Amino acid sequence: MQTWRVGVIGAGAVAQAIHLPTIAMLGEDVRVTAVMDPDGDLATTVAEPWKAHATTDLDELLASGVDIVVIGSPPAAHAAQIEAACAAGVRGILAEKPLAEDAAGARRVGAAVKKSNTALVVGAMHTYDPAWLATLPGVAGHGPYHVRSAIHIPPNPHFEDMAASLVRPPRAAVAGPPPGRAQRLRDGILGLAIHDLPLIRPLVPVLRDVRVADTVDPWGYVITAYGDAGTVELLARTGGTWRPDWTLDIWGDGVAAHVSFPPSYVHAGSATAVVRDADGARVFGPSDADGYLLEWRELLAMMGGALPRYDVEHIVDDVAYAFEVADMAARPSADKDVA
Amino acid sequence: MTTAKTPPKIGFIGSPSDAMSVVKTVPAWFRLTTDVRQAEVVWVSSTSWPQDVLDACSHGARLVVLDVAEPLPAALIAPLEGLPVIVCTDQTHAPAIRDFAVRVAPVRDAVTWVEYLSVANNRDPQQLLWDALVALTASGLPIDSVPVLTPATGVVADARTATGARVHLTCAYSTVCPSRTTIQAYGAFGSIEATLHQPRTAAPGFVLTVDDQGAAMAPAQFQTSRRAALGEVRSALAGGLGITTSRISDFIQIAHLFDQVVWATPPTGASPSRKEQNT
Repeated sequence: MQTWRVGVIGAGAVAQAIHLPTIAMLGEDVRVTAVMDPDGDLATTVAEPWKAHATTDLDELLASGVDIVVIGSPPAAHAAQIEAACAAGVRGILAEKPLAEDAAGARRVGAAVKKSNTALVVGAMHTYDPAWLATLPGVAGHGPYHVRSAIHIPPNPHFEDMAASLVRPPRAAVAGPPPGRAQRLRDGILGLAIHDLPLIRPLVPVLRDVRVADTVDPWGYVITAYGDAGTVELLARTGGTWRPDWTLDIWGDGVAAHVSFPPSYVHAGSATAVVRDADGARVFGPSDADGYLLEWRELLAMMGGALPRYDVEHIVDDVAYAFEVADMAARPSADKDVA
Repeated sequence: MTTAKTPPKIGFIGSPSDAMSVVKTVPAWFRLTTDVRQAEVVWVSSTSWPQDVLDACSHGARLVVLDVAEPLPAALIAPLEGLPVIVCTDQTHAPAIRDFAVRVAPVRDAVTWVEYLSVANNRDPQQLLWDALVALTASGLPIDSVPVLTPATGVVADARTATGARVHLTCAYSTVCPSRTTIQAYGAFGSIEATLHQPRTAAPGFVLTVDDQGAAMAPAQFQTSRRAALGEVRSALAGGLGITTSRISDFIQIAHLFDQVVWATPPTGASPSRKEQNT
């Protein structure tokens, strides 16, 4: 049996709390052999338990003979690192979202992935969640839809510490003024809403108009958008003390679904979904395997020759959809419905 | 030896309601009379309610309960200002909403964000909005800005309370989901949320409070809104106290706001299908 060598690009919370615990669950199929981070001390600390090589240099990691890279670096670095991995002949990439900083960049990345015939999985864990995968066929084809994504979660470190004893480097002071409304909305959509937008896109593939778009303190957003196939609400509020609650509600013509996801990081199994139609209610999940584990299994299956669940075009279209929402929401006129 | 105080007489105008059924089960609370001119409490649920309420007050009723679910037009309700009238709907006295209001009251000024979600087999956007405004008022978080609504596959609105909290309203339409209503209030104190599984029945729902000390969930009483209202009316009359909730003045404010609501047009294609409109 082949053991795939994994290079970790970016050794922060996503790597430590999401991907390394998941890789540990995969047993002998994968082995972390290299960790790269601009913070050399962090790379060394994270690499040590795996007896992996630590480096601050991306080229050095790519030249070390890794078969797979997992990219958990800041979003601005994703596109260049994916393209570099493709050029270096890496066979599989698990890249955190978003793929790039704009839709054009995502298309360029997609072209590089196709050209190099690299297996690509994007770390959009809900798209691999077994409860969601069981839900979608039950609600598809029953539009128009009213979809509501509502996320109420305490700050991320609360959950990161449930997944791993995290090594946190000192946070560098951010220079310049705090981000304005438009930037905060983009950050919210591309950092949090992007988890559920790929689930919404098959139901409401085209959004025409954003009627409400604003930030929510301490961190979050409220967005109401309308498309040919229905209404989409995106609500998020994080940073305080309240019940962790991450839900996706779908109301369609004669069907409805309520999907309740665990918070990010916690490795607490899959979502639980209730799908209702005229015949009654069906419950899917929770399953032991969460979306994180299944995205890794998907990547390994693809590297073994299986067809991807989501091909490159689909992945790029998901990213483009998120950027469309972000662009519409960030327009100054998008908050016109607020009295 | 003490003599039990005679229960007040209660009369009903309009179709029999849950309240009339309840009265028959609590003879120690009220005496049912068919002569509403003699009633100290008059429960009005007629289509001619504007005149019936005025008549009951002029005949000396100590309290009139207006039990009308539909939106109350501002022009018809305004003449009732100052009269001893309260309003009872599925939302006004629902125990979970009442419990929620009690917990919200001490932190009302610190609430910054409110979410209201109702799921119902009801496609009338005006009724859905009215129910939402009533429920929020009963919760102690009345809307104070004119909402702009886009009725499409459901009703979604963005508004603010008098204390500046932002309110996001969602009224979803579903033929297959059990009715439910959730109200959530957030602030630096944490969160308080009420869930009503089915406002028209005695399914109690619960109130969940979360702060940095932990969480507490309190199931609400197994009572319908009408039963709770009757108990409140009885207590108020027995104690000679005025009723401070669900007052007609609150509803006059709701009605004025409701008259000003801006009904926006959804983009082409987002409106309900012909099939759904005919449901």
